[in-house]
Amino acid sequence: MKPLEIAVVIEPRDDATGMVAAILRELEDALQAYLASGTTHVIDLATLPLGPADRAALQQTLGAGEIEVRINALGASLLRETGFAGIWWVRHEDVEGKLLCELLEVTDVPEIVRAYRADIEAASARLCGLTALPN
Amino acid sequence: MDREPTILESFQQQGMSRRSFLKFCAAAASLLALPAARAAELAEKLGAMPRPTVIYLSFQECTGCLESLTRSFSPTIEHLIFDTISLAYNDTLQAAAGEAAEAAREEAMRKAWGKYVLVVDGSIPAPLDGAYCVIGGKSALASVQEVAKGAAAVIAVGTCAAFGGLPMAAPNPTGAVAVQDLIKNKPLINISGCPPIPEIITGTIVYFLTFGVPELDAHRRPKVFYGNTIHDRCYRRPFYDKGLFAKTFDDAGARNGWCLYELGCKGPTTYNSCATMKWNGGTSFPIESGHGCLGCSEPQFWDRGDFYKPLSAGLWHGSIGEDLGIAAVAGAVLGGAAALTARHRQDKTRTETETRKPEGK
Ligand code: SF4
Ligand code: SF4
Repeated sequence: MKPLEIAVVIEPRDDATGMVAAILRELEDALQAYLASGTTHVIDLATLPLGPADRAALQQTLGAGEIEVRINALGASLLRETGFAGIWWVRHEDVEGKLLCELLEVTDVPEIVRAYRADIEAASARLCGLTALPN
Repeated sequence: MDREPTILESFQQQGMSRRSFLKFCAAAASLLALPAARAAELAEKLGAMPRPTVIYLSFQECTGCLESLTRSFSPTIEHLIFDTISLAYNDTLQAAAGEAAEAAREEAMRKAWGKYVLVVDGSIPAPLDGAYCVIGGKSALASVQEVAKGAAAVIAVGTCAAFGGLPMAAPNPTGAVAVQDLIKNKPLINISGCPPIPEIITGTIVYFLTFGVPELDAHRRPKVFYGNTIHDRCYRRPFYDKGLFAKTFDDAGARNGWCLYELGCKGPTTYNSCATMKWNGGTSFPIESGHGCLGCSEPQFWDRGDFYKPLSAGLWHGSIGEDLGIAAVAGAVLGGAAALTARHRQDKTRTETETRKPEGK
């Protein structure tokens, strides 16, 4: 059987959509708001029509900071501090490694990294149980 | 613990961490395109609320909707909705059967009277006191009316429940009607599609639990998912705009990915998110596989003529086709016209649905 010659042509999109400039401006406002009142902010990258060129430009502009956090909860999550303190690039994947969402978070430490008081209390109780001397 | 555990607590009881919960919320917020402030609110509100009861009733349906839902993103997320976020009663999924299942449902209804969410999939035959669909000695008609009485809201999942779907297709031998034809006095959300995109089902349930009924279109579908046509967001649109159409499924045009309009694509009159959310965990959607949209999320899609004839060929109830016929040559003009006609139809159908009485009653 002769293989079908199928070449699906997809029209190339225009490279720069101007989206990056808009995101940077939003981040600038968000950082100022955080400094002024501690308000955190999230930009959901999936809601923005970013082409590959935009994405590369955004990544290059934001750069890489000093911290990378990997979380294992319902699949992997990677949280990278960008070159701008207070701006985090967050990627959540599901258990099969598919992207669930990709966010830019403006905050000191993303909420998901912190250990909560209730969880620490439970841990403390567990540890007490381990160290208690058997009678 | 005397009270119902909160959603967060039940997450933790199932051995999942708070971080898993926060991640689930981030994914849901992204799905629902919530603005930043609301995304934070979602995690806070959802975590603190007592676990809601969801009662899922299936009537005249093929179980495709439930299949779609239970294949929803990763298995864990579906698991979360049904086992963790809510306490669900569903005769297909639950282990209990027969009288035990009925008793469990009645008990759940009694406990959460006035507060539970009723999810219905499948249409309901109305004539002869619902004799065409009887489960455990009770007609679908009687069940849906009884369970709806104590519901805080009703979610009709799938085109059959939302608009009648396949069972209602001509000549509608059982006199099937949609849930909205029977339940008039409760907040009601339609999630249409044959089947609906699974993420839309879970997303809508999560949204409803946290913020209440979302903004709806004229067919009572959440605007966030049904606000655009397939055609509005179709990646083949540049070809449509240039008037480049595939004429058969194997010609050069088809191979080059040209627009499927002339092969019967109903994208211009169909409101759904397939072109952006896609299917099978974001893999692709029908038009990407070379087949036009069938219009599965619109009322009476089975009876709107040939799936393989263009919209302009006088389908979709006569006069629209005539209006569009001339414009069919000039693709760009047509897009606007078809979309306008669809919007007009949407409003019109709404009025019809509201005034139409269920037959045989
Ligand atoms: S008619 Fe169908 S294939 Fe063509 S652009 Fe519209 S939705 Fe896409
Ligand atoms: S592309 Fe059209 S027919 Fe196919 S699933 Fe989406 S709305 Fe339904």
